[in-house]
Amino acid sequence: MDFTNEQIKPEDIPSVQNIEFSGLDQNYLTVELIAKGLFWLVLGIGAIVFIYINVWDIAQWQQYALFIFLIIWMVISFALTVFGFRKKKYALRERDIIYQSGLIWRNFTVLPFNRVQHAEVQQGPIDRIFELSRLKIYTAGGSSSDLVIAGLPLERAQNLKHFILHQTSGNEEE
Amino acid sequence: MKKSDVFSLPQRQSKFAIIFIILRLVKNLFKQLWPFVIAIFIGRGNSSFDTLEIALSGVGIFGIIPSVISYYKFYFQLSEKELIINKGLFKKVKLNIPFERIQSVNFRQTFIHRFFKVTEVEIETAGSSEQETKIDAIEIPMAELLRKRILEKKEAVDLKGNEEIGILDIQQEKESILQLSQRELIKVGLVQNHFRPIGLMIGAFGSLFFYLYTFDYDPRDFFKQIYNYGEQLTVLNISALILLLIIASVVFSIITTVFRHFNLHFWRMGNKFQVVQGLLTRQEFAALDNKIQILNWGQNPFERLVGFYNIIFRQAKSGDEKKTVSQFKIPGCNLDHVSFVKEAWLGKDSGSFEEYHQVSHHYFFHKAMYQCLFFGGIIIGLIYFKMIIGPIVLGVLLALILWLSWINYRKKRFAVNDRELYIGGGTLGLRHALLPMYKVQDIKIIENPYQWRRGLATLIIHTAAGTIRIPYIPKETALDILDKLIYHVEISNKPWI
Repeated sequence: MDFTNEQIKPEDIPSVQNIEFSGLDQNYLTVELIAKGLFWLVLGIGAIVFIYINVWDIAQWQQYALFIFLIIWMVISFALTVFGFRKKKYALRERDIIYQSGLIWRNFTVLPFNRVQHAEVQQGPIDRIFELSRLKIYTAGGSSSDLVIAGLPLERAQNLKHFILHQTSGNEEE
Repeated sequence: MKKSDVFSLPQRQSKFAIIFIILRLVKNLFKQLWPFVIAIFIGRGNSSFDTLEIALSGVGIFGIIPSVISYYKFYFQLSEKELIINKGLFKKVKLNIPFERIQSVNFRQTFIHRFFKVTEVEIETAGSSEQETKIDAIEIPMAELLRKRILEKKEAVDLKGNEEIGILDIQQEKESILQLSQRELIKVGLVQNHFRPIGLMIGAFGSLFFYLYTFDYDPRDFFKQIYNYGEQLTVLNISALILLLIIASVVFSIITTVFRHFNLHFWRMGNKFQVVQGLLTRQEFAALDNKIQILNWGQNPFERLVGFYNIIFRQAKSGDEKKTVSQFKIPGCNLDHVSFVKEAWLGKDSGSFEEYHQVSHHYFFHKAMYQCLFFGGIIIGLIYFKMIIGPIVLGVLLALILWLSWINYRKKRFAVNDRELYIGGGTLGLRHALLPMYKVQDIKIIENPYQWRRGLATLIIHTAAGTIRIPYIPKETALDILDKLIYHVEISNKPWI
């Protein structure tokens, strides 16, 4: 057994700062916008019907105000999707995977391969049209600690999955 | 044949196991059919016997026969390498559990077990696919012999596999840590968290009212009676009522404590901690060193008064498809017990830190801001509607909540050394957590807008037995701790479970 025990200085511990991240596939923005569009389509039709029938019996200026409020909300939500998309990035190191996201509420996750329980690749109906998929990585830390990276090209996701699972089993042999 | 070799042949459980099999059947049936059972009880009196009742008893009798047969189909035996269990009535099941996968053998005795002088045996295994294995009832001497044989054989197998490393000392000697006498037990009961029984009592009153409603009794009459009484409410009456509530909750705490922790014995054996306790149900817990993820110790406000500590072992429970967490609590300890446990678990000098850090004062400010906004909004609204008493009560409540948040912030601290992470805090009580770095599953750093404008972040550490948060620390510090933790996880090849 090759047993070594060299001293590690605190400054030699690899840092997660200054790592080069890869963004998600550009098509995934389209997927997100379609999903958001569908959501607003349903909400919008519902709102128009409700306000037009005037269920709450409100004055005309209040109806306009409600419309304007909804439109501003919609614009903000689309803007957040577009700008938030650029914030979603991932990086792979020899022994872990890093994912960050969030424009307003920021999130940064590091998941070491030697704690991975299993990984799977999923594909939703809209994902399929654009040949995208999501990579889901499970640890024993409970469901809130599972990592999901959406918006990966199917082949990339599968390669990542194989890489991670290979690293996981590789570490066990050591 | 020697008696010690008795397990090389298939063994049946004690005859009394049939009782437990039937009890389990009844329990399961009741779980499925309780609406029918209740319907029958309520419908009583109208008709003496109806089809539903007959059908139910039919199901019951029909269920008992397979249960009895399943007892005769259950065998266990020990081979050189594994524990073999054969069971199953229609679907034959053969379980082979290699000794090296067995983590511990625990006994559990309900009062029915104790009456018949038998015990349930639970075999805990490592690994995520294996189901938890249970033997319903065997005679106690037999159970003890079984446990001894399994541990002996496990040791032999483990030794063979580890010849190179050479495990030197596997003497399974019991080292007693704590034994609670009757008097100490009462004392432990006295200092339990009495807020919980008070909450339970309020819940019980709530369900009583609901119950009254379902029986066409108007609870308002009940209120009226209380109100009549209330007209005579004096300071004396109110204090008597409060005193009564306090006494009731203390008595409740003492009774539950005695039932749970009666004759508590806590000891260290080999590489695990074990505890036996309980009045009616005698329960045994074991925590193997490598299965413990987080060690908690602390005091509730009452325990602080008498200097008691409680220790909680938080382990990841394997042997179950669901990733459940199991934990057990040892009350009535002192600081020596805590440091003994720390040292036995993680070695000498564990849990010693050069420097303890506080979280940022913004942790308090940000929380206080929301509390003020929420209560302030309501108070202003009430003043607008010309109310006086409401705003005063809410103002006092707000002051109290702010004060508690302040204490909570002042008490929160964390520390890092080369191997472990510590986080402590509390509001009225105190709770400490110690976590070896290599047990970490994954780490998150989150920032809300308030935080990132001030260069702060919250560090979230997931382990297999729960989550640890270090809120509102400088982002630099969070990243440093993250780097260090990840490094220790990635160079470690110790089993974390």
